[in-house]
Amino acid sequence: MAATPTSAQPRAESAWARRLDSLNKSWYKFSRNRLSIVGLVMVAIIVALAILAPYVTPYPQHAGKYVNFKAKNLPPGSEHLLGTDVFGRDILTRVVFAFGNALLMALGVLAVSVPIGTLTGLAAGYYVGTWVETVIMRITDVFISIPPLILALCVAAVLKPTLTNSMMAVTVSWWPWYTRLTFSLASSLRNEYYVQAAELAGAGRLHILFREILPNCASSIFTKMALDVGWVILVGSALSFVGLGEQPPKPALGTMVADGISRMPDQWWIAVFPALAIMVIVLGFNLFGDGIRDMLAPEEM
Amino acid sequence: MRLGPFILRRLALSVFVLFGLSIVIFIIARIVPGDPARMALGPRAPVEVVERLSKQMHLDRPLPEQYALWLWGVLHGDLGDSLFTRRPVLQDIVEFFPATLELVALTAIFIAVAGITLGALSARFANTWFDNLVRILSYLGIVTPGFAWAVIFMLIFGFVWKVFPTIGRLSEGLVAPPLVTGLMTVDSLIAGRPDLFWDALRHLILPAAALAMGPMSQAARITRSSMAENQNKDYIASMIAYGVPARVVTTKYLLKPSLIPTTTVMALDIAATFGMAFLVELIFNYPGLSRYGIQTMLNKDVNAIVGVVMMLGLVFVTINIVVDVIVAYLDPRIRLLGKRSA
Repeated sequence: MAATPTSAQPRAESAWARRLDSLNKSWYKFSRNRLSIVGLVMVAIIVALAILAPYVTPYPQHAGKYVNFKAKNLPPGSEHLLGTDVFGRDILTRVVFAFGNALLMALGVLAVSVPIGTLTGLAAGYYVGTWVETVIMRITDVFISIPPLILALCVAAVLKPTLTNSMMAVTVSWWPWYTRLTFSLASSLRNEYYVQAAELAGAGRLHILFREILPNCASSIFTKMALDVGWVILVGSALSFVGLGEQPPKPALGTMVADGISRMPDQWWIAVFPALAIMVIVLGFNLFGDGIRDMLAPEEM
Repeated sequence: MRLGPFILRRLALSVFVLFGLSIVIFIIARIVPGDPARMALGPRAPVEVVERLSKQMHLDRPLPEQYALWLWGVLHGDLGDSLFTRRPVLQDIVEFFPATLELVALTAIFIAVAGITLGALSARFANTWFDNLVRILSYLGIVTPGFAWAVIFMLIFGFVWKVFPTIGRLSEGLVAPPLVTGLMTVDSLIAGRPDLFWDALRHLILPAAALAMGPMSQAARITRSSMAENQNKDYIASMIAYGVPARVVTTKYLLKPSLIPTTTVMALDIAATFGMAFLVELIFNYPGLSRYGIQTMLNKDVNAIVGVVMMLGLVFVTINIVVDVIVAYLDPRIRLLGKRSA
């Protein structure tokens, strides 16, 4: 909660100054660890590449249905920086297009599981000790009673394999973690004096939930989201590795690795470069997420 | 809170959770588009045969009734028949589970030994080249999916150097020892065949290492950070002031309490290994429950999916209880608090 201004300065000016000041402070905390900046740069490059894929890749038509057996299995060279696959498609082009799908997957999964998890967690935290908490939290327990990858594989396997369905599969195993996080925060915030004061002042339930409790959970939720982007992409690549993600001929990193395995070790580039691409994208978001965590962490010395 | 009632409460909750999981997974397995009986028999099978199988599996009944019938079967030790192996699902699980258990057990040993050693050493030599090397390695370990490690290890140690075998549980031409526990390494020792033991162990090394890389890195990082945190506490300073040898301070007073957070995270990671094992077993063509599981999923073998998931849920829940008990035991604050209130 923002502190009330104590100085007698004109309000508008001090508000701007405070905003600028806090922005500066945030950047300072984020950039204190040089690896966070590395992460930020990696994320920026990956996002830019993914958005501009049709313009920056050397052979955009290779991202779809394209076959040229004359150029198949070419090793990395000046024509094809990362070589070509069994259909003669440029691997660099396909990796860059696959970045877009991976990011879309992370966005889609978080866009659904974060609101579901936050709302259920808030409700359980506000009605802590009642049947509402029991119902919500026991359902959550059920969904995390099995490793997320197994649940995701299961859901993805019974549905038709598409990018949307694989997003749905990961979402099913992802939301409970946000419920747990929000619940643990909300149930302890519930007893803070400012929440009780608001209650005494006659504030409505919705006001207390969304204006008093939720803003104080936000930084933890954002931190988890920043760190989760990489993990969602990792799980997504595991699904597409067994053929349960985006379907060929559209590119998916996991599928590309799987396709390349049978060509090992002679045509190693077909599997190795997509695998490296997964590592780069997950590493970037991890470093970036660590920076966000440093930035949003409460000040302690 | 005393340990006895605590464990009882956890057990009761686990039974409830598994019951819930069975409902969830039953629903998921039954929303399969298309008729499972038709898929099992193939497009050429006559309609009457498909209908008979459908009836035999109760697929023609409403969902709640199907579930009740399934639950009744489970309580009698019957998980139904697999549509593809044409055998009872329970029999398949009993056959394939020990292989996965053996693999995950070796993975757990790798994770615990290597993770704690690396973490403790990098805390001991904090901010030296060794610490930095471990930090870089653990970042790599964490961001690389287990299936990618599997591919990398297979390439390096299986094809380029040919030090380890890359397929199955035993080399071709070797006969498996008589079945006792189902764990190939243990069975060959029981049979008094050290040669078979070595062969089986060598088959386990690459997949176990691939599975261990991520969790091991995580364990190293947490051990290091929690040791670094405890390093600045007053009791360590007083131990040093008393003249306790540095080695004893590090191992006894610094490492031991630092293992509490590591144990929790490590155990959950080990349990989650059963997930990545789905892919790694597939890559190494290792005949475990996970490879069986992924095949049943891809084949939409409904009874087997439910059976495998319930089995892994049972394992996961058990590991969670064990971890809670271990942590309660490791942490004297929890242990002694229990005695005082008792």
